[in-house]
Amino acid sequence: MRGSFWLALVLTAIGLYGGLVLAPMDYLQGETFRIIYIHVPAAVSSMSIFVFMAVQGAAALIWRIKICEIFVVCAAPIGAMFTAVTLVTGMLWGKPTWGTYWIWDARLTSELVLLFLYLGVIALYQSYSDLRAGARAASVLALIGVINVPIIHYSVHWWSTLHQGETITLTDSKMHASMLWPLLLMFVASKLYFLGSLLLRARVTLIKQESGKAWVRQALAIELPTAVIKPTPSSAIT
Amino acid sequence: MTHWQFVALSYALLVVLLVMDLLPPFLALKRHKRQLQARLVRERAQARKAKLDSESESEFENGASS
Amino acid sequence: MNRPPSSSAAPSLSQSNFAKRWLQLLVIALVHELRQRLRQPSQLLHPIGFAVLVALLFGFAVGPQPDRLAPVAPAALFIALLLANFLSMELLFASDFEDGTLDALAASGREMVPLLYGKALAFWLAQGLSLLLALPLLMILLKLPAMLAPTLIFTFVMMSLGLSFLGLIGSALTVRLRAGAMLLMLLILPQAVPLLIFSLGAINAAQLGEPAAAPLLYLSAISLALFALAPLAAKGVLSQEIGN
Repeated sequence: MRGSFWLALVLTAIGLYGGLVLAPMDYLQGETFRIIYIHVPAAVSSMSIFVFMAVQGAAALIWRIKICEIFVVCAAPIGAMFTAVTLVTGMLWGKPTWGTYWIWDARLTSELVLLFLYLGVIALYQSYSDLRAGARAASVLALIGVINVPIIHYSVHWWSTLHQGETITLTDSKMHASMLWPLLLMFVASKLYFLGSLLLRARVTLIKQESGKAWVRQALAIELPTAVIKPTPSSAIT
Repeated sequence: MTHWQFVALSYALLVVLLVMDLLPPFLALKRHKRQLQARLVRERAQARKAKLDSESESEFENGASS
Repeated sequence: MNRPPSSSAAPSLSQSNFAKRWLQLLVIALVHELRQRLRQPSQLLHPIGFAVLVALLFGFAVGPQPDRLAPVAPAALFIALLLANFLSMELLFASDFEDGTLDALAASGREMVPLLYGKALAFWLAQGLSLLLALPLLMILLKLPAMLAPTLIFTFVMMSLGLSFLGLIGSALTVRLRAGAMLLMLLILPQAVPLLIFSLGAINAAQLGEPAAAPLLYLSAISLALFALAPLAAKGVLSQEIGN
């Protein structure tokens, strides 16, 4: 887990340096395009984590694999965080670029609904006192969500084009290589971050659920410094 | 707000959200470890005490018989 | 829930017998639920009142200028109907859960799916379709032309069907919570976005005089898919719930 975090940090540092310093200014958008180095990886992560969560949920429900239940529950807050990052950076990118913080187009609206889907999964899990049942309920909701997300996206896209036409498109133009490699690095960095954060949260959940079991105590006993246990003086007996 | 300020604000908010993601599990992990280790220490102390009590009893019996 | 004693002690093996029994259970559950709802007829008026209230708030909040209400009128109508449809949805399983019927059901090993269909259909008929009675008043309040009525009726019938079955899953997920209403809304409203969008698309097309077939087909497809699949999902959720 720690290795994953360190690697993510290093890659982020390199990617950010490449994105912020080395990449040339975009001739259309000026400096603000540099936000895409956070925005796009976060957006991709927000959706891929939901799919990950749904896959883990399916495995948890079909084969009753306990670790999958834990992954469902742990992936949700991380996905919500990435979705929030996407929305916030999207707003901060939109203001200088198109003059407005928000617009009801397909992508932003679907992303906002995705945030609510994540929050729903988290809220549902937390409402259960039985953690395993809660994880299974969250899995059901994640599965329903994952089927619904393309439908939501399509319906919102259809609705917004009905009214406005395609006014705003992301710069899908080909990116110069010097702009592209930091982006790819940030993709990888975001995946590694997700891995590290997932394992951290899974650790906490496992310890919480299994704290009565012997293996947890053995694992922690190894980390226990022996100086803590004071030897009782034998002179007390006589 | 200049363009660079938007960019800087984005990165700042990213850091804030990352901390919000990492901090609660990190603190929870520390708390769990502390609690379990305290319990382990307590149990070891009790086991030690029980062992010493039984030792002292047997010594007392041995001492009394000799 | 009172059920007549099973007619045959031995399990019926033929297909037609199974289908007949299945439908029997559905009808029994449906009739039972409807009877419960009709016990207090005034309860049926609550969703209507709520929908009218929401439309009232919209009409008032938008302001007196006529050209400000017209663009949002269909949206206000459907949001009012949508929210009214959600009223007391969390109570779908509440009474059965509390008096132990759900547990008995799971333990008896009887077919749960037709009973779930009965519940969802009863909800749709009692709550969803009763909102159709509110439609004339809502159309007057929001100044929608009368020629939209057929489209509105069909659209709302389909939307409320989808909502009722979506609510079946949501109620199953929140059955153990005492104050599950808010959570239910939080879970189901995002999933209901496509239903709302295609309903509005149909009305928009009708307003412009264009054929509304495409959005209506999408709407019906989603609702019918929910009709087919939601009880299975709800059964899975309830079985796990009760198994604990």
